[in-house]
Amino acid sequence: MLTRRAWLAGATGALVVSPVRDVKAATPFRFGLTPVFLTSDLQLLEALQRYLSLSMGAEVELVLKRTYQEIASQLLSGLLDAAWICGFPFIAYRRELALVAVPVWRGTTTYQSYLIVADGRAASGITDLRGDIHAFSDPDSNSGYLVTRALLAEQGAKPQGFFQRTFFTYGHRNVVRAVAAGLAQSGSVDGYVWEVMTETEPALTRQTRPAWRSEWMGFPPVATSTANADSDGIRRLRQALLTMPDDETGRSVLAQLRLDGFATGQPSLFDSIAARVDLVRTLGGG
Amino acid sequence: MVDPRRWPLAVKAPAVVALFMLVVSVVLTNAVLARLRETQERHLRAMSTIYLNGLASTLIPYVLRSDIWEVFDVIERGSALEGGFGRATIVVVDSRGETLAASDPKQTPVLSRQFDRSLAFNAGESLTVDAEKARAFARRTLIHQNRRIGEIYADYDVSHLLRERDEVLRTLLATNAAIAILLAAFGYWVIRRMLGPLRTLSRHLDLGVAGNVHPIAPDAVGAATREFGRLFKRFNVMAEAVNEREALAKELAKEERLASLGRLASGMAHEINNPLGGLFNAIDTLKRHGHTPSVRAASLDLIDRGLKGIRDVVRSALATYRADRDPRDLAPADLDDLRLLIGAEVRRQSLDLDWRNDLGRDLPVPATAMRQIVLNLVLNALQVSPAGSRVRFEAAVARDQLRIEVHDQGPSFGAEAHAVLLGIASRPAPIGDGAGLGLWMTHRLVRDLRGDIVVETSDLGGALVRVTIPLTRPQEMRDVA
Repeated sequence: MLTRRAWLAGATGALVVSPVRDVKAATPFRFGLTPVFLTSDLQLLEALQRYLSLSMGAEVELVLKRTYQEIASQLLSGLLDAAWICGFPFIAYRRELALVAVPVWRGTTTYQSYLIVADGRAASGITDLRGDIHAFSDPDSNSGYLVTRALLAEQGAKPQGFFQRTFFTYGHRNVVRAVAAGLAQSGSVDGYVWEVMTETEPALTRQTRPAWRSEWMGFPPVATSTANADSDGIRRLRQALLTMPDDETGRSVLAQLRLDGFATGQPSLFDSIAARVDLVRTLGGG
Repeated sequence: MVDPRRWPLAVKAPAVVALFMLVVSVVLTNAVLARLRETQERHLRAMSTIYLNGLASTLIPYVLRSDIWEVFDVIERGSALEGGFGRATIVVVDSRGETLAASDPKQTPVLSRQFDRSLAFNAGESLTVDAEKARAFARRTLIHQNRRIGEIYADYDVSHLLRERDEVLRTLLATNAAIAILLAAFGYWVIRRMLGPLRTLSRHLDLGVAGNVHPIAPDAVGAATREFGRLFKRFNVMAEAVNEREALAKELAKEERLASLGRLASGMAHEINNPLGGLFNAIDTLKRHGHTPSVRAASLDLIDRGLKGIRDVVRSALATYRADRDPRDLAPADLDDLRLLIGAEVRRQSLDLDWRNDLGRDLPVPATAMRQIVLNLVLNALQVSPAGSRVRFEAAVARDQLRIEVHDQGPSFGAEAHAVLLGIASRPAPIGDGAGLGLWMTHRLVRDLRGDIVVETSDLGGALVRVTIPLTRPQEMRDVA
């Protein structure tokens, strides 16, 4: 069980990737990530850390947290300089947070949310999923929770009443796993993650099927605290992200993430998410 | 071969060895298998405890929070077992018995009730092996702060353990069978070797029945074990004694024959002497009155008859005592000749001899042996007959058998003489008591001719000896063909 404990420690605690030699900055630039969105692929993280350190000319420390909640609170409290978060916490804390960059996937800075079911199950919308055991990814995830929550709120329902049981897996990939294994009969998942997984883990996604797709929404952005928005570090980070496709290491990171690159983006990109937050607050009773 | 008590020792002893090995094998196999099962279950129990304890310590916080995903994640990762146990099926239930998560959710959906799982276990038991499904079923209660918060049920493949048992069983059976067969074969060989001297003895005894008893060769005696060596020596002493006795009996038989020959010779002398007086008288008459033709003719006639009588007596004696090298078939006259031989004895005792020879043709029976038989029987009858009594001789052919009967009015056969005649005497040959030897020879002759002897009471009041000789013998079959 030692390996098991080690894995849990790795998943819940901070993952510190060794610093790169040439960088001499005293305080490292702390960049937060969550496995909700990224797979905890050490090779990818190492490449990203190396690229950012070299590109920014500063020591970069990647901080991996289990939930968006942890990342958001650390970002707000200044423990993190920047973080790759979801559109939902970005909207929820829109006054405290500023946009650094938005990933470009398949040419746009948008993505969808999917409701997935086991392959072969006839379901085309949320109403077909009543009474399911339903897997969400993270309570602070837009695609993995808020979208479904808003769908139900539109019908005046709440997840705990509509579904027989819900649970959070704290990872979009885990939602796919749960539905594929039959642990959950349906799940709310990031459409981008599901699509990437059809390439990286087709055996897993083949056992699931998107039953419903949301409209296009702003892609999970890289954000920082408003106070920090004009700092040198953030400028360099934005530059590093925007010029990622120009660098070989950057390209390999993008290739692994199946992203085209990063764009500056506008906060208005997340208006539809903001609308959902408002809807849930109004109809869903919080 | 059906009754084991009658099996040969060379089979019985190895069979006992094999049976013994079978018993040992059954006891040993049971002991080994029981021990193996015990060891396997102890290890299984230990492994199961360690495994479930590990799972439990990880699962408890998630079960407390009813965190379906984390419970699933833990048991899914933890279900792959090393060491041939395959993939464990794990089900975690909460305190109400509802499934939180299972390693195979399709089989055991979340929130399904799992009452039947606890039924598979006896109270207090945490491991049970289902040999039919080749799976071990284990359970572990999740306790947090002295409160039961749930239960882990795990079952895993133990077919490799059962296979190991099977293999051990097969190995034991094969080894024990091989040892039993080897021991039985070895036992068979040893017993046969040990019983070798008995076979030698048996062979010599068999040979002894047919004729001379052959002593066992000195090197065989020397090679035998002490017990058998002693037995062989005693057998050889006995064989020597028997052979001496047999030789003696033969010698005596020859002497008896000579004695009866002497008796007959004196009878013959008498038979010859009788006409001799008449002949000399006739010669005297010839000398004195030879010129008278009538007297001469009468005298010559008398001489002629007297000489013919003498010639007949001499011829029949010759025929009787011609050696066996002239085997020929029995002619009716062969028996009638005997009448001539015993005539003197009959007259001496003033017996009334009734001679009925109804043979009428030659018979395929050796003449010499037959004459000897008849002579012995008749002489025996004459010997026991009181003076003036009757003796009857009958010879006839009935249903392919030659039947000879000798009746007398003498005392009936003594038990010993009877036994000797019928060849059922305990002693091989009556030596030293005179009368019995003729009967013993008769018995042997009749036996050689495959005939039968019966002693009964005669209608004359005395003994009746009936001899029947079959008339079919190999050379007659050839004649017929």
